[in-house]
Amino acid sequence: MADLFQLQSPLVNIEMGEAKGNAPEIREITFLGYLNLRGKPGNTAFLAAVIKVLGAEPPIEPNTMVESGDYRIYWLGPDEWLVITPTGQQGQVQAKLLEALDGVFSSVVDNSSGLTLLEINGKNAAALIATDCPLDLHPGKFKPGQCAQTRLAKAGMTIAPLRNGEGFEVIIRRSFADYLLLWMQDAAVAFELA
Amino acid sequence: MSQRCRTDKGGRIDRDQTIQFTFNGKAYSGQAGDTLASALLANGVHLVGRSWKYHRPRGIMSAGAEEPNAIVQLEKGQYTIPNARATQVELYQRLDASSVNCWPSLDFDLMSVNSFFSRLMPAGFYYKTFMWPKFMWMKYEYLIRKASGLGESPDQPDPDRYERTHAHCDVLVVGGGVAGLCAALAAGRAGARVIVADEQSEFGGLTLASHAQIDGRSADSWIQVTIDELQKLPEVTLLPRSTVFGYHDQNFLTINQRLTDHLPLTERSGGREKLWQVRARQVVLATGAMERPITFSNNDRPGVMLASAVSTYINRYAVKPGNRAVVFTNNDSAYQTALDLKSAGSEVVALVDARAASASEIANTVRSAGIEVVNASVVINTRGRKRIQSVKLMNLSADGKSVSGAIKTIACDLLAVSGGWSPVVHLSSQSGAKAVWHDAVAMFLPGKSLQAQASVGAANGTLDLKSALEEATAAGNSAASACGFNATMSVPTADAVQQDPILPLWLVPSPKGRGGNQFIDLQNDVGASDIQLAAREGYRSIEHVKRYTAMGFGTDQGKTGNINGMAVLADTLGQSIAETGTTTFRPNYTPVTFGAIAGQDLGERLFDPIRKTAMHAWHEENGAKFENVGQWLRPWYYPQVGESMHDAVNRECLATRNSVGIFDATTLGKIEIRGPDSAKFLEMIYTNNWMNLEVGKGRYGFMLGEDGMVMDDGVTIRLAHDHFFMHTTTGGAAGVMAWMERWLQTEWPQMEVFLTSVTDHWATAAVVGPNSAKVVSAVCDGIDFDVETFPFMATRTGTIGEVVCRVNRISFSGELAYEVNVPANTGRFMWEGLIQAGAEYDITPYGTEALHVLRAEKGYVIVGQDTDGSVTVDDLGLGWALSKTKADFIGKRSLTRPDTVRKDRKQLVGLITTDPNTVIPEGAQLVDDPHVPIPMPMIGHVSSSYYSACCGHSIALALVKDGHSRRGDTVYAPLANGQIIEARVTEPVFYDKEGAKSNG
Amino acid sequence: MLLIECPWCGERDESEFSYAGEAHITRPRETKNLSDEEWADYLFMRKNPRGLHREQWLHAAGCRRYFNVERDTVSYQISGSYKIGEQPPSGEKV
Repeated sequence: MADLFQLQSPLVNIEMGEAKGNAPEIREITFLGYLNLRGKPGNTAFLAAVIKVLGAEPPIEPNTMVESGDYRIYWLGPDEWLVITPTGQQGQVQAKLLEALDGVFSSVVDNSSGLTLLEINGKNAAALIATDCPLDLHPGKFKPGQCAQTRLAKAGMTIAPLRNGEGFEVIIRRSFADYLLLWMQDAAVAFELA
Repeated sequence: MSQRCRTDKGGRIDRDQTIQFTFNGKAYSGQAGDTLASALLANGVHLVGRSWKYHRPRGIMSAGAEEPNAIVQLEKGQYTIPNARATQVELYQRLDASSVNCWPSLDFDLMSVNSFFSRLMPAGFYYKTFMWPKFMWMKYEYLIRKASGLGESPDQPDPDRYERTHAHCDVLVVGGGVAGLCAALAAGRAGARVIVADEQSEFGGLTLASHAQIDGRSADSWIQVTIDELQKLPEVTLLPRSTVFGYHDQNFLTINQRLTDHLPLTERSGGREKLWQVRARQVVLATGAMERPITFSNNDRPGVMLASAVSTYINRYAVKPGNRAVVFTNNDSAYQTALDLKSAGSEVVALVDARAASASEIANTVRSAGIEVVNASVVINTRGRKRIQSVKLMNLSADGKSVSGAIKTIACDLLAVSGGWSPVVHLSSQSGAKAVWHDAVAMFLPGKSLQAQASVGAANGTLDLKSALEEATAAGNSAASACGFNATMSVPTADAVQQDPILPLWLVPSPKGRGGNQFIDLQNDVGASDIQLAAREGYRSIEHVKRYTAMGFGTDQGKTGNINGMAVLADTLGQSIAETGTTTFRPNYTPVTFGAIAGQDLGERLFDPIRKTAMHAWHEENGAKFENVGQWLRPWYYPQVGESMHDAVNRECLATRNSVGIFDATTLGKIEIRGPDSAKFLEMIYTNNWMNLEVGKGRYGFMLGEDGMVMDDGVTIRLAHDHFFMHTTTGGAAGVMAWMERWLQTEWPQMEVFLTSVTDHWATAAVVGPNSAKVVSAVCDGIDFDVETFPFMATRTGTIGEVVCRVNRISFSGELAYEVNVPANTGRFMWEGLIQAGAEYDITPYGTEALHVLRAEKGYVIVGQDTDGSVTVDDLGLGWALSKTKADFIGKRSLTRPDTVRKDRKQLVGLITTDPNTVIPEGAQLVDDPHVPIPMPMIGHVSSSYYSACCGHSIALALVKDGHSRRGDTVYAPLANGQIIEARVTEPVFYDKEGAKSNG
Repeated sequence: MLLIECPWCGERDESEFSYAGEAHITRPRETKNLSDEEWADYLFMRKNPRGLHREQWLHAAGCRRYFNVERDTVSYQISGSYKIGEQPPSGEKV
């Protein structure tokens, strides 16, 4: 049994390939920890508990994210956040949050296997995504520190500009990962010849 | 160059690059920069098509999108494009074009016999003639279509790739003529994000064919300098060959950019077209104006052209469209055409002006150039067949209502006509601004803007260059300012041109007893008499007249003819054009390919998302056939060598009931519910009780819509006092999540409950059958699998290796069964562990088909298959699931509505066929007596139906009127093929009715 | 394609949203005391006005919040969005 053990990313069956021509590079960052955090931003006990464990207050400003040490916290809704932890730390961070939030109306749910993260990098990264994403990705409108939930082709995603480079990180659901990768690889063809 | 009608100098064509092409199989040459139309004209070819109904010879009439006649089929086979406008087709090497609507050939058209019967084919002809007798319509229609089809659609798959993009900008400028470029420059210089789209290959619009001066230089030089500057601005995007074809809500516009159509087939690569979906904060419409014709008898002969088109062919394409020309106008603009013709070396025999006098500067220039100007005269008729040979003139009365005097005949091979200008208000109208008629200028002008949009230049009826530049600069500045930029460009200078007013003239009066063949819509062969007839028959609304006569229904959407048609209707009805109004301008401005709209969302991979579970690759490797369940791709059955689907499903069912089966249950929706009010919330969402559920136990629940109908079902487990884990149906997951959030957010915000969807986080394997506990216990540590200590509907947490797993004892088959859940990144690891451990029990993977059979044998319903939104819990015979003690839950009040308590509601029953091997098709209607005449009274339908290997006969679930009291009755399923299947109504449980097997 | 302002995320394309019907329909309390007619009124009867309409939307592909939009059903112009429990921008009480 133990000999079978293997973590598999949602994209384990997709050949990622190298970027061709002017197509952006697409890279999966596997096995990060993803915790769905919910609580009332007006509840000081909630905020204090989050600060205690994560070292930062969850962002109250919609469509923004904060980084705190190894953790990143993305705004998902007025009482909902996505906490990204380094690989393997989700269980321990969840436990700490649950402990700190004991008795506080809140929710901390592990969704680590439900999501994966792609980095799309290169000068046509925005153009590739804009192929079928209605969000305005202009660097003057969508800057590092911001994030957004929107759609990519016919699936949902959470997207944020990378702090370095010309690209974006895109967080997608496991079951849609195959579809979205195939979609991106098809959309990339437009930039391979250019 | 052997192009006999090519002028020696001038134009914007490249004389060094000769292009070979064929038209109707004959080889010609043209030059780079030509359109197909200009190249044909350069070769002296005017006759390019036959009309739709009468198959009259037709020639090139315009130089743009409005072309009604020169409709061509490009290329053959998979690259063929029907109904292209030759006036918009850029010439490329080896272009292969042919006329549409000609059979057997353009020169000898058999169908032109129709033209002799034109008096027998008036407006509404099809409605009146072919609709009776009704049964013959299909036959008539076939012949009509053969005779009249416009172009041929490709019969092979489209080999091209179609790109798309979303785009955002501060200012979208539609039209790259001088007004558009000027507005774009004003906004662009201020720093705004600007997109300029123009349908042509070159920016500049009509001005490319003019002699105007801007900022002290020639217009084409100003255009070039402006384009150069725009190209250097980083926030400006210039889109040539890009037609803005739709203007939708909140400044959402769609652009079709043609990327490769101008290239030889062998040089094309990449996407053929690109659909731009643009959201603009401000829109400037600089779409220009189209010249309209004047209607007179036989105004459709090849060689009758719009005057501005004649100028464009001469000045832009270096083509001389005729040697002996007559110009016919009611306004000043065609005077320039007379001068252009003369400078191209054509003889201008006469300039016929309907106005009593013309004394503007340009009129005098024409006279001093030696061209005879005939005022107060009109063209009443033409002669010629495949090319105009002469025109007939008469005097027009002062009131414009009659003609008089001697008929004067003038020989010519070209008639350049101008009836004035119609601003291209299509996009403005689509944006919601209703076009308004202005008598003074005889134009429909853009109405009041409802969106952040302004029309400038000719599109706004401003034909004078100086004023157009003023408008465009102001619009560009103000659009950018509205987006927060400091825009202060000053107006480029141009000379004002004084013009005499237009004399509105739509239909030239006919001398007594003559007339006829006065074509309004040349593509659809709608004549003035058709519109007059429609009015006599009682049609009043222009929208009805349009549909009755087919005016404006062609691929050109009546761009040249509609206004004349409205004017003729207005005149016939004795009302003004303003009262008559226009037909509605709808997208698309010009035809758009299906490819552009579909993009790459094609085929099995990309048409719709395909969702896969963590074990998907294992299923593939093990030969599964898949089926789509919502967006999920699920294993359907796992055929072994030589097995049919029937064999495989029987084997899977028997193996599961007799030993152990394994099923990928990952796709069930999963929602974590946390917060102090969670149980209270579930009491409202589900029909049964939740407050009293023990921690560590689950319960099956029905969710109803507020109308009392079953919406979803599933098992929800209590993990802690304030923590539940809900399972939904596979297809219902997203809907249930949104449904519950809606109640929490909009109705009960005081409830302290948080929901999180974790459908994707968990991978789930259902291990089912008498040996299931042995298999699961061999893999999962830390759980006591004794059937008494780990009872039905209980949940336990254990480990598989290092991985924490949750095991729920849930069954959808009546067997002892466990659902093993692990984080999906370890899903395959868990699955293979279970397969390995199950080997000694011959563990058998089964798919959705066996799942369906196993649950149907037990009478378990599938929401969405055995229910359809009109079925209550009582209809399913599951009233025990409805709490009698709760004061309220969603849908409860509806359960006592008169319709819900009706006795003859369709209720769930079982059916056993008389012939045990006959399986009734799902969806089959049921009747009491299959021998009464059709339509038979129907009493219900079959919702699930299978062959049950475990029972040894076919089984079915059905919804039958008053079914609960009809046990033992015989019903019939009469099928479309005449077969009648007899079945007996039973209770909907076929296997292990006592439930003895749930403990293994 | 509408441009809809989510009260949290700002202006987004209609394709991110799903429509949720007429706004300001409150679920009656004590449903068992309602007549069939009163219940049917809550269940089925909708205003369907020509002109200003207040409707619920869900930012389905975004922050998953329900909110209200005031939209003209003739011109499709949107006068504004407002959170559940707030009054519409036109100022007309509902």
